[in-house]
Amino acid sequence: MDNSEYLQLFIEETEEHLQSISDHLLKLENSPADLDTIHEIFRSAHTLKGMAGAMHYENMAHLTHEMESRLDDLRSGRLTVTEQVLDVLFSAQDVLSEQLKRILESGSDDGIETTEVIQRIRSLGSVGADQTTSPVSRAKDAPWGRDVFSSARQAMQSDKFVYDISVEVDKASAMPSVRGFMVKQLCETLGEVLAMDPEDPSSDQFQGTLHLVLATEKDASEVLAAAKSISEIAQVEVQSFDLAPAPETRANTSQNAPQVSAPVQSKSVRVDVTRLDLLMNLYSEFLTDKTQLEQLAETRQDKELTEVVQHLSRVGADLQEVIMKIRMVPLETVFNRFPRMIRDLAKSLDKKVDFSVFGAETEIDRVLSDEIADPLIHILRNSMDHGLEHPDARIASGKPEVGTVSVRAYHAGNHVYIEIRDDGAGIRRDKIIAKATSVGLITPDRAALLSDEEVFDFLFHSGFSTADKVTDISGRGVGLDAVKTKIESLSGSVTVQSVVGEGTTFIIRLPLTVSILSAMLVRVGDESFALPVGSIVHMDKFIEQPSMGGQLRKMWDFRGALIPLVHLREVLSVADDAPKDAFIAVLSKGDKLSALVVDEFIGQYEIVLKPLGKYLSGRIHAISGATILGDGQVALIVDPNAFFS
Amino acid sequence: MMTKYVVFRVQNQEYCLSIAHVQSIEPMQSVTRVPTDINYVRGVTNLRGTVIPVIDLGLRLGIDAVQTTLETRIIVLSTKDDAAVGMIVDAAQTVIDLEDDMLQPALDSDEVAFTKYLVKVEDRVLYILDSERVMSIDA
Repeated sequence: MDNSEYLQLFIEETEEHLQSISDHLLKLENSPADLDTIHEIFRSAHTLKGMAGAMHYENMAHLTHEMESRLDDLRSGRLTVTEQVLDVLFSAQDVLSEQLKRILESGSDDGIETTEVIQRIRSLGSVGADQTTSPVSRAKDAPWGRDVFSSARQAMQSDKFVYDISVEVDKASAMPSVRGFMVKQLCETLGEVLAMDPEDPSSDQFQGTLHLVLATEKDASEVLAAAKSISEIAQVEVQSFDLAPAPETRANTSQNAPQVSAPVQSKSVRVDVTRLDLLMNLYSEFLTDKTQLEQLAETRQDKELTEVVQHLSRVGADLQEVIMKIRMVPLETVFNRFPRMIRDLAKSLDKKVDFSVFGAETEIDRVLSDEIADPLIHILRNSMDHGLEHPDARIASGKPEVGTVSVRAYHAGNHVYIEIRDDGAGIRRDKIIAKATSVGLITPDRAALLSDEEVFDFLFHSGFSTADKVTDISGRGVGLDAVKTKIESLSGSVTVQSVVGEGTTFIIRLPLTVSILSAMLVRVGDESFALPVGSIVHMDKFIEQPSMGGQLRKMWDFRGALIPLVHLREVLSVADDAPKDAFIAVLSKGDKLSALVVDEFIGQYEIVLKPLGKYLSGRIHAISGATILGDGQVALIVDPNAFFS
Repeated sequence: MMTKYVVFRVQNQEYCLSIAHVQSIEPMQSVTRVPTDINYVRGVTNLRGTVIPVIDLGLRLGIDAVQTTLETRIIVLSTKDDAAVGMIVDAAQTVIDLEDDMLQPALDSDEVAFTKYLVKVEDRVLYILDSERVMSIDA
């Protein structure tokens, strides 16, 4: 069977269920007696088992089957939720994630070690569960082992019918075990019994409900009639054996299952991201043609053409907005993994933390959401490791034993803000200054003049770590500097606020989108470059200021303040025998300014950002990407950050 | 086993690359310079809406830069991570079938950088390039 068509669906749904298991396990940790939560986890495990079985991922099916058994014990009260149980279930979820990763990479779930975790799951079964008193009969969703599924599949392949049969012996029967034995015997004459629950219905423990899987050449009505011919049988149900049990129906037939509300139908469709990229590419071609038409209309001075082009521009702008909205995804997809990560960090660091997420519904360009996860994880690790104190230290300083860490996302203007806040010890300004002075970043006199924000900015310097000891959580040298570089490469910024004793907040600011931006096209020599309009604060004719030459670093007098002066021609090594250097653009980043000299301003355009790709990434200075102009030529996009280092 | 190879020319030498690595062959088109220290990177170009890097195979092989003529072509190769890189050559002529056992491993003494195998076809010797090495960027 070729599963490739379903593979994508399988992966997406498995991801969702694994996420759900993780979320609910965390919930269960806080309210261990919540049956609904247990049931949700059971449902996910059950569905995963079914899907994995259908896709022939035997290892995954086996593991989820084992999980399901223990979850069933939890559900029925045979086992209670303890820390040990949660740890084992968390590990099982980890292994499942590994398996999914392996499936993604190699198409098979082989090679991920499962014996240990299965052993641990099984060992839970003996804790608190008294085998002799546990009910011998189960609901109709008796969990068959994977061997049963594979023998059922084999039987089907050799043209046999496989039935899932449940038989209820009349409660009035004096000797249910005799009836059970008769059913067993009958089935053995009809075909091959692949599995039976309980295994020995002729034992005195047998309570009257028998559930078995039968492979036979007879059809269902014959089996049904044969079973009913035995006396004192109250009910017989014969169903064809389901290799991939549908999650809802199976879960709902189980005993004691709380009624699960029907899932809310959302009016959305899944779209392959490559199609979105294609749409974006097409839109960028539309944009190039539109720009050309606009220029044409301007030179032709044709009234009718101008009107049509103006309308086209408006439609284009609306279209752009729609496309941008389609590309937006809620930050939830990134934030989802945090609660689990924080839990594990708290455990390994021996700290107590109350973690909360706000604004997970805040939307951001899909490209950004893919890229922002790593920096966020890094900052969170940092907050857990360096920010939050140990419980005893917190108590000693009069704080609640349990610390808080929160992630908060919101929109403001054309930006998305993500704040990561902890109520830990805060950052000590003097410690940072001492370290910065010792590594020669600054002199003590100068340090006194710096604002807190400027001091905290040293944290983002490479190789700068004030942590007293290096742990495996953070402080491995590659630290906040990588975070800053990454965020800036996404046209964002990161700042730190901190109050000693009260805590630290990292504030990340990101553009809503990086795919379409307003840019000023500039000419230098024979080459055109795009300069993001967002960073330009002023444009003017360039007048050489005589006093500015001859210094180590050129400066420019802008409204009475001296700001660094840079020739774009030199930065990008443009060959030009007759430089004109006619215009100047003043760029800003935060409250820093820098002046950039160019030959000519061509005009302002909406451009579509095209990545330069892995081959060149990191090898081109001061360029953040490229765009395709109206004439099909590629123009490079200048990275304004390059002028502020 | 038979494998198809694209045959192309840089200066007076013919080279081959397995067709499995080749995405398309384009006529020479406008390439935008990028500021970089890597001498064989010509720049970037617009390949049907996607921006791809373009290298000069002449310079990559340590010979001379390819001079643009009517015959100049850009051979677009697929890299491992599904990206594309263009490679400027003097001409791209034909596609040929070669039996695997016709290939002779290139010796160090052959003094030809980036060559994996040699193959003799009639009276010509073709160099079969190691595409991964050609595509790699020297540190």
